[in-house]
Amino acid sequence: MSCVGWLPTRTPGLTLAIRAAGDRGLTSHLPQMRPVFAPSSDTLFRLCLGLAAAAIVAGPVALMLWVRTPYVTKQFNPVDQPVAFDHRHHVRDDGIDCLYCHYEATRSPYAGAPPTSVCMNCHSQVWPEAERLAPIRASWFQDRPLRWQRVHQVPAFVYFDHSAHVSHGVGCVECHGRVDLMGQVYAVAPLTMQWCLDCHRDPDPHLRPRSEITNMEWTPPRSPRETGAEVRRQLQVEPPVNCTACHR
Amino acid sequence: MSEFPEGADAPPDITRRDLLRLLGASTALAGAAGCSRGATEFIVPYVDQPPEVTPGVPTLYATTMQIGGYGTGMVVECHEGRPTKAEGNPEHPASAGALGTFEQASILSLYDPARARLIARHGRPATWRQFVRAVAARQPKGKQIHVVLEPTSSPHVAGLIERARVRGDVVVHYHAPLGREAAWRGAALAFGRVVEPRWDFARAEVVVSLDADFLAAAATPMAWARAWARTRVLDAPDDRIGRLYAVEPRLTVTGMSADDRLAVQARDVRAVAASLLRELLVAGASLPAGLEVASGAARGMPTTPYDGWAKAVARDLRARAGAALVIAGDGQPPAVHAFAHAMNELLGAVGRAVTYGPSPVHEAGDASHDLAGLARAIDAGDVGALVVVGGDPAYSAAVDLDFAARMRRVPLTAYVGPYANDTARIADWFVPEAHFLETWGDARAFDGTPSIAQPVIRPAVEGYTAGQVLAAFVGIEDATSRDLVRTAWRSILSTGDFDERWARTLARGALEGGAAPPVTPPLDWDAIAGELRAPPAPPPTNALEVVYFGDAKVHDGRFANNAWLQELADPVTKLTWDNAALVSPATAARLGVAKEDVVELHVRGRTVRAPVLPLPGTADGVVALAVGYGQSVADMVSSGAGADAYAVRDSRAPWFDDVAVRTTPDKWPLALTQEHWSMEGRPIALTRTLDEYRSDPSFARRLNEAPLSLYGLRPAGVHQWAMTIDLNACTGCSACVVACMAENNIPVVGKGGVRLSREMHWLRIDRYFVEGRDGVASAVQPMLCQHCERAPCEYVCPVNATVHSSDGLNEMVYNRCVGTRFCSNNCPYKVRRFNFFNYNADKPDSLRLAMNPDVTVRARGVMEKCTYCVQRIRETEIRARREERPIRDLEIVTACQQTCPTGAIVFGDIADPTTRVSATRRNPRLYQVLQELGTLPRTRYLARVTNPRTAGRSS
Repeated sequence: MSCVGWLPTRTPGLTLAIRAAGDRGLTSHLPQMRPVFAPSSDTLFRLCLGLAAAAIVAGPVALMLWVRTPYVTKQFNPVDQPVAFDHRHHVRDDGIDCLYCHYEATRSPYAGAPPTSVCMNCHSQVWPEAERLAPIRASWFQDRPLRWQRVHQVPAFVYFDHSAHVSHGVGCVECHGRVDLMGQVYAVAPLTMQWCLDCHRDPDPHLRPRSEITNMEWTPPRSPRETGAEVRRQLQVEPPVNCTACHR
Repeated sequence: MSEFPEGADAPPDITRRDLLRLLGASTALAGAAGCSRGATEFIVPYVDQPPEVTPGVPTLYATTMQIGGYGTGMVVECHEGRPTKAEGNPEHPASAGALGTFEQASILSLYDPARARLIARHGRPATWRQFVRAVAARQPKGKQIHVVLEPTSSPHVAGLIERARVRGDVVVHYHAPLGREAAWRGAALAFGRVVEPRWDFARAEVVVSLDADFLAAAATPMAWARAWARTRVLDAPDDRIGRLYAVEPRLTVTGMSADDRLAVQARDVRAVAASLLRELLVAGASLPAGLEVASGAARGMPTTPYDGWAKAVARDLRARAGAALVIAGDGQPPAVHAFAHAMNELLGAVGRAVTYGPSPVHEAGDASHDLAGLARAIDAGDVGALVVVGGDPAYSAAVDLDFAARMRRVPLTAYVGPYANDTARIADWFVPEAHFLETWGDARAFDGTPSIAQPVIRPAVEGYTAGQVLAAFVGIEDATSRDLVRTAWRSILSTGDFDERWARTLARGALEGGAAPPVTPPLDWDAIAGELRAPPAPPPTNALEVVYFGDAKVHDGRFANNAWLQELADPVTKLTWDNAALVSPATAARLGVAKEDVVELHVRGRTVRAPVLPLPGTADGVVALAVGYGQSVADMVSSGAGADAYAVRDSRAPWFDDVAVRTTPDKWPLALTQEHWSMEGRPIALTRTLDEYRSDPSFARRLNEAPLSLYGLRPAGVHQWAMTIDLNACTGCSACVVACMAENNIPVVGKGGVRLSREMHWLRIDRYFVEGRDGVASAVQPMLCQHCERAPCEYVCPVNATVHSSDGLNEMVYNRCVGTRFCSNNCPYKVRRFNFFNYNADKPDSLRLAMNPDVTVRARGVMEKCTYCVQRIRETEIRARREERPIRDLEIVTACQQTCPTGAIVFGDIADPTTRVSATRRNPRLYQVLQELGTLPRTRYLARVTNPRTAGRSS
């Protein structure tokens, strides 16, 4: 019965053959009984088949969309840190440049979190007894490093180099967003390969003069594309799109 | 000797049902793997970052490793305080910028999880102070402390030894199973004092090696191979190249590179040397005065079967007098060394290709380098305490000394060493020895140049050095190794500001101009004449001879627990994870044995069982067995590897001895990385003689043509990376293979894995045998990804995981790879490697510290292969861009190129015609391997050109 369900029952020959088998009395000795499946079950079955086919397509599509959702890319998700460090205060109120703490960004693949000693440069004098700075002092006096949660995380097979970007006119804000307006830092960029390649294939709208790298509020004097194109010529920016540019 | 490994065509050991079950499960789980969000990572900055450290940028430190008393300088790359790679130090005379296999692999030994960690007395934890007190309070009172060290050139240890000697209660002995006593005694015989020859192969057009494997990368100064390679440079057909004669009982790296090789039993090398010396003495037109006695003795010598060979070679040597050099190997008796010294004197080599200097090794040539003295002292009951520092004499000392039994008779014994080995099990006290990379030290190079060893990691183990042990016995109980070294160096750096000179020497890696001044000792011709007159008793004909030699991988056994070295294919035999009784195919036939048959070797009433490996090039009648295997230490990677040659090695014949071979029905499976020895007539590792090359300089032209292809070439980027390997310089020493393993996080698969051809080496060295003029000649060829411009692997990858970059690299994208292995199947060079298991994830934690953070650690199910060290290319590109300058030629150095002692590997940009690699592309010897396939490989080779004697004059 079920096999009739998925076979094209409108195939006249097959249907006739089955009927003929019944007519010849092969089943006539059995008592008459109601069919197990109502006629509508064919429709239902075909619907299920259609849905299953759709699921085969939709499943991977859904997964592909899923991995791009902010939930998976961990965008816009403020991260709790061992110290309630507020970038708004340090950048906007105190006017401290990004590179004061993240000084390795210009010469290393890692921008890095600053060593405790950098915090203590100021906080041995400023707010030396503040409650919220207790973890910093504990780290300093007990010689135990702080463990900051990573906000911008790329897979282990991705080799991103800060110094290459910073020296070629990619501003901090381009990938990290307005960190100066964040109480707790969160990622704004999805850090997907698509997102990386968008810029590597067409860098012009994302470039700025080297002098403005750490400027969070800079706006291009002309259109971003024109300004960026000028910078690209000046700094000879040729972003690689080879696989091994990032995967080694 | 089939092309495919055993069982390759047999069904795998898995049922169909299991296979389907696993297939279904892995398909279902493959989807689930994509759902994870990834674990939270932490950024852990320093509390107070050291000023020299930039996280993400490696720091380089110069330090020194000592093997057998000879120091080799190295530069160690450290990532945030953990060393990951050792490279050569161009400022150090022994390294000359290259580094051998042992020194490179020492990084892995540092992280070895099997290293001893605790000071113990009879297995119970104890302290350093308790140990020092116990030795001081030894009973009976007043008996001396006997210390067994490894031979050392360390200035601070030498100073402490002298101090101990003055006090009189400490007696120092030295033990090295592969020591150089024969060479020292040979020098003493020839010159009346121990001197160390300093060979300059760059100034020798003809070299005769009497069983000296000077080109090996195993505890040999890499400067020698580097200098020798300068005589093999052949750009134009008319260039002169040197000639290398090798006389040896077994095939060595030097023998494989020789232009003319004579395979003789080890005991006959003396006859060859004497015959050669006679020819030089007798046929010389005018001999200096004072040689009458010697030439008279030479005339009286009986004839040998080697006289014909010697006559011809002597003629060649005399023709190149002043630029000829004869050297003798450590395994030959003193007389052979003395003959070599005499021949160099006659050939005018002294002052040119060889100079002499004092030995850097402390008390070289003294009786203290022989454990027989210690054995006598123990028998006499004079030993109050026996402290063994380093080495493993209970395992490696000559078997007739019965060191283990004698050690048990000493009332108080202690062992300071890296592992809980045979000696440690006998000793009452066990103290972990500090690894040289985690402590301070110093050493001298073969020419006497002193250099400092500095720690490059915070020690994980409370380890002690030989210096600290000796210091404790002379009353400096709690000295740090740094204090001891600095104190000793105050006399070395006695002029100028000490701290400033100390810092400069430390950073440079060797004391500038620190070589000991050369000496020119007069040769004692009467002693030579005496040796000539006393030929050794002729051995019984057809007698089999066992030859012991230091292994290319585990040396004297000290690296047995180093998996990089165990899995490294022996440069000559291509054997991994074992040693074997090497015999010539003719001898194997005579004995009726085949590969993997177990034989019993009976030497002086003792027996060792070993598997047979027939190897062309071995002298007939020789059974060559490497030492260092068959250690009985449990829970180590070395457990069960190989046969213990020390079990039969006698102090009266430490290098070669008579042997009786008895066959057994047993089999011992061997893991060889290359079973197939023939090129089947194809032009793979191309070799020509110099005469052939000169008569047809364009012989390789056909092998550079690009066949027609349907596939177009890709658009080119600014740079086009390419590599050229000069087979004329390559010796097959395998230093590059270890460099590649260290640089690229290459996992180890074990003996079982190698037997299934699953070894992961990105770079292998193929070794072929060809029918030569006089028997068998060999050819070596480093084989790595050829980065084909028309790459067969790229066409068949269903997921685009291997693609071509605009700068000419064949890229392997691990995160795309799904493991179909189509690419490997379609690769004609067979250089792609597949991760059958999660080799890296299953590693002990400590070994992960050795990983290079700049290279992806590959997971199971992923294909991998040589990347041309793309991490170094990209890093240099970024640095150059940051500094707004073009990339300089030779600025990018691949790991294999960096450590190649002969400079056979050149890497660079062929888009720029001025680079060195572009120059090699114009060399007439250039050719492509398997050119007829039209793959257009970026890695190309320069054919080897040998210079055999019958090829006429190479002028």
